[in-house]
Amino acid sequence: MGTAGGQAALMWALVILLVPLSRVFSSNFPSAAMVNSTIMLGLFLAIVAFGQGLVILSGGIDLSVPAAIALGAFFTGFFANEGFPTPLAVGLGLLISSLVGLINGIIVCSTNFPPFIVTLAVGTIGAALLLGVSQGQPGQNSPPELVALFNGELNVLGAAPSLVMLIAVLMLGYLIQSRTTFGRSVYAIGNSMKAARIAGIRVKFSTFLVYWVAGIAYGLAGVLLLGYGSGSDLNIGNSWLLPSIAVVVVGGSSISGGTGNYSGTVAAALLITLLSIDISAAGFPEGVKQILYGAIVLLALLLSKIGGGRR
Amino acid sequence: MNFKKKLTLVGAMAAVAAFALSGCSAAVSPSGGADGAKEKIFVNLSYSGNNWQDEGANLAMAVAQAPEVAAKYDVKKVISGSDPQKQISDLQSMIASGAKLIVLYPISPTALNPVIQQGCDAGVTFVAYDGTVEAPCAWNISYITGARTEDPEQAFFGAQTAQALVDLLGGTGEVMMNRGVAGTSTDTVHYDTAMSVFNQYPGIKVVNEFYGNWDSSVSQQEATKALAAHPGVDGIWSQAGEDGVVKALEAAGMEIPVTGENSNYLRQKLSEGWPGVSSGSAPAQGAVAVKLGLKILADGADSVPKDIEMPLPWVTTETAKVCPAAEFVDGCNFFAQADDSFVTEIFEKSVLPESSYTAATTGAAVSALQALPSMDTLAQPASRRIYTRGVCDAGWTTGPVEKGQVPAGLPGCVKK
Repeated sequence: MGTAGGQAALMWALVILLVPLSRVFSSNFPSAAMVNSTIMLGLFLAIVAFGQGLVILSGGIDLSVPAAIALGAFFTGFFANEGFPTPLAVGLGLLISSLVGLINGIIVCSTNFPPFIVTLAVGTIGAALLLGVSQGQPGQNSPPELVALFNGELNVLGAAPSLVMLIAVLMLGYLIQSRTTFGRSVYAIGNSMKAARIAGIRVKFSTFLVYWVAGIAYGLAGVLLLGYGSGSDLNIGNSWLLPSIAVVVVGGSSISGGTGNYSGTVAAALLITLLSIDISAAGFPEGVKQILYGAIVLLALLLSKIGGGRR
Repeated sequence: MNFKKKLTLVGAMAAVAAFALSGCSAAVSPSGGADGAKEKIFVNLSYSGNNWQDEGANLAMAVAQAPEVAAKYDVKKVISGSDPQKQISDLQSMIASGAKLIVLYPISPTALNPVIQQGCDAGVTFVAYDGTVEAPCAWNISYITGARTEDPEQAFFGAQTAQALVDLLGGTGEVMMNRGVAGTSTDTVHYDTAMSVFNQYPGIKVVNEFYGNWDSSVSQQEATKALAAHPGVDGIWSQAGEDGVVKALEAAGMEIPVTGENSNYLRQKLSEGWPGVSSGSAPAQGAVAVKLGLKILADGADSVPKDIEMPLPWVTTETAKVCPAAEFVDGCNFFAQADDSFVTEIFEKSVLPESSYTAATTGAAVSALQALPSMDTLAQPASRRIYTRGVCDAGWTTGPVEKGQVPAGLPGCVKK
């Protein structure tokens, strides 16, 4: 845990360092607007990456992210517009989106198929079913309670709701991943499934749970994205899959599983988001933006490996 | 590589999903015995999942399934996703199964040329809508080069909205641009014609450009990032996805002029006093394309022009008005009950009077088709042909168009 903790600390240091350094990209930086945007856009990424992080920790990779996000967003909007109270609509949206993770979990834990193929297939089926059920019609307007979380009207004890949510997600995610029996057993499974089994860990059940919990996390991101945009296209989740994998690894987790902690992932989510804001501010042509983005992900990865020490 | 208008980039997953669905309406499945004698019409759609594609597809099907059409023709719907190769193989299947008419949303202006030519040789009529194809034997219906109805000299969505933004800013200020999908011909035409206007004003400075992919959520995220860097920006020029841009501005507490396309949300904000203009592509095109195809089958190829321009809708802060119900009446132009990203332009009074909100949202067949009036008034001027066919007509050559078009001097076709 020492190395993962070291990497997380380094990531947080980089985030804090980059805030004043943003001046390089724009004379208007650093600013409150910059920090607010980073927190808001970083929140979605941090939540998606919690699910992806658990799956990667267990030794898998999850490609069903876009489908689960879209299901959560679509059905929350759908039920709210059918007149269901918002908490119930959100609950139903989460329940339906978690079905993707549930089925992933059942298949992965009861076969030895590679997780990325299983999640690709289940995600594809989920997206196709959504297209069929919705008949191509996009998600509907968000219930007003969700819109209020992001439109700048609401504040919680003087802080933006997205900041409060980010802190809550950080604490909850860290607790689940690092301080519960479930979380500890995921580390063990990621390190060595055989050893975990010998140690008496319920490998199958824990593996199943990983994918289910991940599906719920994606669905939650979908629900919040619905509120952010107060509406959603069916492909709303597509742009979050690859960044979710990137921040987990940049945040210090091993892509082959068994190491990492969620605090590092959240820091990486903020770092990558802030960098993308900086790159946008600099006004480079689109091609240059993409090259820079890729190069910076590589650089951050390199730094995190150096900072975290050898493994 | 050319993607297409309004097709937000979808990954392999979505393409596979659309493929899976298209299996349900298989292009090549043998038709039932009773339909065997009828001639076949195909409506070839793209990926559904955003409002524009959904409404365009619904309206096209609503017209294609009208009782008098269904009595005479066997109408089938095929979804081709976002992959030109898939659309080519779908078109080949349709031609092989004896299609008489194919109304399509073209994924690429060039990639489909060989298969369309092959179909024309086999006697198939092709009508492309919104996007255009360069194959000379196909009909094109598009707004890309379209002009405003009040003044047909004011052409091009990109140029007209840019000019409107300059006017709203009084000729000076910092401007941001929300572009579409990078590398598509539609984005390029909009952007180039807009820049030709901005470049005429030394007081206008484009401080930031980003790609919102014609997607509300992506546009909102990209606008949020750009606004953090440019809190002093004076106006935003946007392609589709402008509802996301407006939401990003609201979250930042800024009410500055926005020009964009036809989302319900932009029009709602305009009606509440937000400065800006709503214009751009109308989903009604899909249904007009079907009617055009039916007219060609009935009255022959010479009954309608080959290149048709849909007029540019134009709604401003002064003219935005909510509709009391589901119709455009008394000059109203958006709906209280619609989603924020709902594309409002589902009516086209002169050529599509049978359209309805129900048809646009559900695809339910219209009860009766109205005859198509003469389309000659909607013929695209030869001077703008280069944008949709890739070449000028015989007797014309490329050059700056100085007359009959505002702004003057845009590249186009001129008489030799």
